[in-house]
Amino acid sequence: MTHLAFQAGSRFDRPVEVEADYVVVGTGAGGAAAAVVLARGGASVAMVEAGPWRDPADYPASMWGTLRDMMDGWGVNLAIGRALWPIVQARLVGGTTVINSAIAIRTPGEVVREWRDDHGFPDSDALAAAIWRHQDAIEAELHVSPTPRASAGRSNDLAARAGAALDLNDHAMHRAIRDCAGSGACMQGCKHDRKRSTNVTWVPEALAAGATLLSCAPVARVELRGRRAVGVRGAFVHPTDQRRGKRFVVRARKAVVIAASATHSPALLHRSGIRSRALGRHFRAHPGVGVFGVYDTPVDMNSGATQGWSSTALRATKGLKLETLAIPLELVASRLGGAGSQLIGRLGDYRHLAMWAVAVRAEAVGRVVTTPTGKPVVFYDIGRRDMERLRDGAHVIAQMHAAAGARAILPGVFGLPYSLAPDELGKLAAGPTDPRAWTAIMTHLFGGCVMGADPRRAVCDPRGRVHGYDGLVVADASALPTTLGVNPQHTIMALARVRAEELLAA
Amino acid sequence: MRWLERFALRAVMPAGGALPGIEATNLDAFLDRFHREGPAAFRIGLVAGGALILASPVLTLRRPVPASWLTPEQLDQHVQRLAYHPLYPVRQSLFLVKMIAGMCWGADPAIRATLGVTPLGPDPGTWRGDAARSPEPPKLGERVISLDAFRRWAAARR
Ligand SMILES: Cc1cc2nc3c(=O)[nH]c(=O)nc-3n(C[C@H](O)[C@H](O)[C@H](O)COP(=O)(O)OP(=O)(O)OC[C@H]3O[C@@H](n4cnc5c(N)ncnc54)[C@H](O)[C@@H]3O)c2cc1C
Ligand code: SF4
Repeated sequence: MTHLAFQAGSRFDRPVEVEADYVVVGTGAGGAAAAVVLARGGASVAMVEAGPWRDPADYPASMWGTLRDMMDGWGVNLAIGRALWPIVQARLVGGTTVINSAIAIRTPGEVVREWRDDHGFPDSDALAAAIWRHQDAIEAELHVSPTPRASAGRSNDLAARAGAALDLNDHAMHRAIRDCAGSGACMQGCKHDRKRSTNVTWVPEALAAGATLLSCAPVARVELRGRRAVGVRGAFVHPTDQRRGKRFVVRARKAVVIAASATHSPALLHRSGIRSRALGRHFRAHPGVGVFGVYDTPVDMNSGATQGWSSTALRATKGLKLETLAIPLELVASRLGGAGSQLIGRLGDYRHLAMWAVAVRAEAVGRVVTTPTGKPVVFYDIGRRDMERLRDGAHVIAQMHAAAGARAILPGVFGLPYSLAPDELGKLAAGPTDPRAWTAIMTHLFGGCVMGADPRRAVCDPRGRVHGYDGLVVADASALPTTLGVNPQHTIMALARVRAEELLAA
Repeated sequence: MRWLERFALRAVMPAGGALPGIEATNLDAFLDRFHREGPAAFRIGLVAGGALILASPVLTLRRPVPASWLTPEQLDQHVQRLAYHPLYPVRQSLFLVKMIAGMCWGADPAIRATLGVTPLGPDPGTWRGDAARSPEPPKLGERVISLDAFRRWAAARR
């Protein structure tokens, strides 16, 4: 096992040099999945990760610590449009799997058929079968199972009661978690080491199989010889004080696999001089909003599974996914309306709050632009139809709170009253569709280096190989040509494993 | 600047309500950490939010005076109106000030105790390869490891 963390030094020192068959950039859902399959297949693999490797004992407890130690850009990268909505991703070994809720939903068959019909994927049935085969394996390897009743907590129990009352075809959330302790803190990383994020599963497994990991090592560019990718280069960055360390060069004998996320992969290819008209385009998302219910007796949303309940009843008709969610006290202050003594008074309800959320499979298409300093900036404007569906979803969530016995519902929408009684929910149904009235968040991101048969519309071919280049494959959320309507990690992981198998077979 | 930052944070989470305000927390320690560790976007956002609160009573109360001259009741009314202001950038600016205030207030052990919420553990800030916790011996001969880090490592082994 070789792990090279931050290497102090200057740009004038000899660079750290590593060579492997395959270089994998990023160790999140896509990168770690590809790396472990390549390593299991006997290939030599070098994983190169921008962030540090933190174990559960290193995880922070506070929200400040979480933004500092885990999040990309302190969690305040904003999608720029009429509204400014935060784009949340992680930057550490394990990528966003460290801070997510590990929800694992299989790839819907019709999504792969869309890829065939609209993006020229040949033999989509075989691809779907390969994805599902890997999802079988992933579910076993990462302990995907329904949230156990014992660790669900009251917020999830209330949602289950509401789901049954409203006939929402709901279920206990399937998550890649072993023996969840119900601490309601998945976003801060699972300090109980129950969540099967890739930093505690596939990355160590790949290392045990002989792989090398460079952490604190943001890749600046892919090295090209003609039209062939032959490695990557960059310089170590200290995770605490951001000081630059030694340079590194990682040579790839066979291929470079890019899995730096939906925003960073397009920026990396831009910086590397990859020519494609589609680069950075076709960025999509599932924007989500949360609605609070206020209950007479304490709910304590942070004791119980963070996201232990779900309904996909409205997925096919409206592209909506309903979920429970727990956010820490520190964030509740900004999510509640008002300021001053009014805000302090409202925070008194904290223990009586349950937050449930809706994510919409939005049609809006945005763009990832790379700034002159090489950083990605997302431009994304959501349209009226998407907003209407998001509002419909928020209304359903509000109805769920009413069905579960909430005494008040806090829609969190500018232009609506702070608090609605259960019989006033019509106001939310007719509420504003201006995105600036809503406090949404973008956690499910897609595209930027999309796959497709037509090089004018896609960066990669349907097998993730960058059009016009050899030895350069994209295997993360950025390659997905559409949204999914379900949580993306399971699809990203399975597809990355398919990509790795294809590389081994090539 | 410190004064302006404190002013903004105290205005959005004042004392005298049903729960203790941000004043009851260790605000100085938080602001020290905020300046030591926080990103420029937060620092600029907090100063900009503070300046907005300070300069805008004319928008909310029709009083052309700085907000620091207002009575506590007037200041309270002023920030409430800013939080619901029709202009999106004004609301967003208040949102950021509230978010920063919330991270100080909601992490405070006394506030958490008042609410009956468990206290937070530490933020170790450590990582694999970090000399402060590294299970691997530092590589002597390379400039990677400072003498200090080596001593820490040796002490941890003892
Ligand atoms: C709060 C939150 C909750 C979520 N919950 C769920 C959930 O429960 N279920 C689900 O399916 N999905 C969930 N998601 C979404 C899911 O986690 C992501 O879709 C998925 O992790 C994306 O995988 P990825 O490989 O594309 O990127 P990531 O997992 O983000 O990995 C990208 C990696 O690349 C690294 N990197 C970036 N730039 C460079 C560079 N230049 N050089 C080297 N490395 C680089 C990053 O540090 C990171 O480690 C959630 C997301 C968030 C933010
Ligand atoms: S709810 Fe708590 S114990 Fe369960 S996986 Fe999330 S962080 Fe871990």
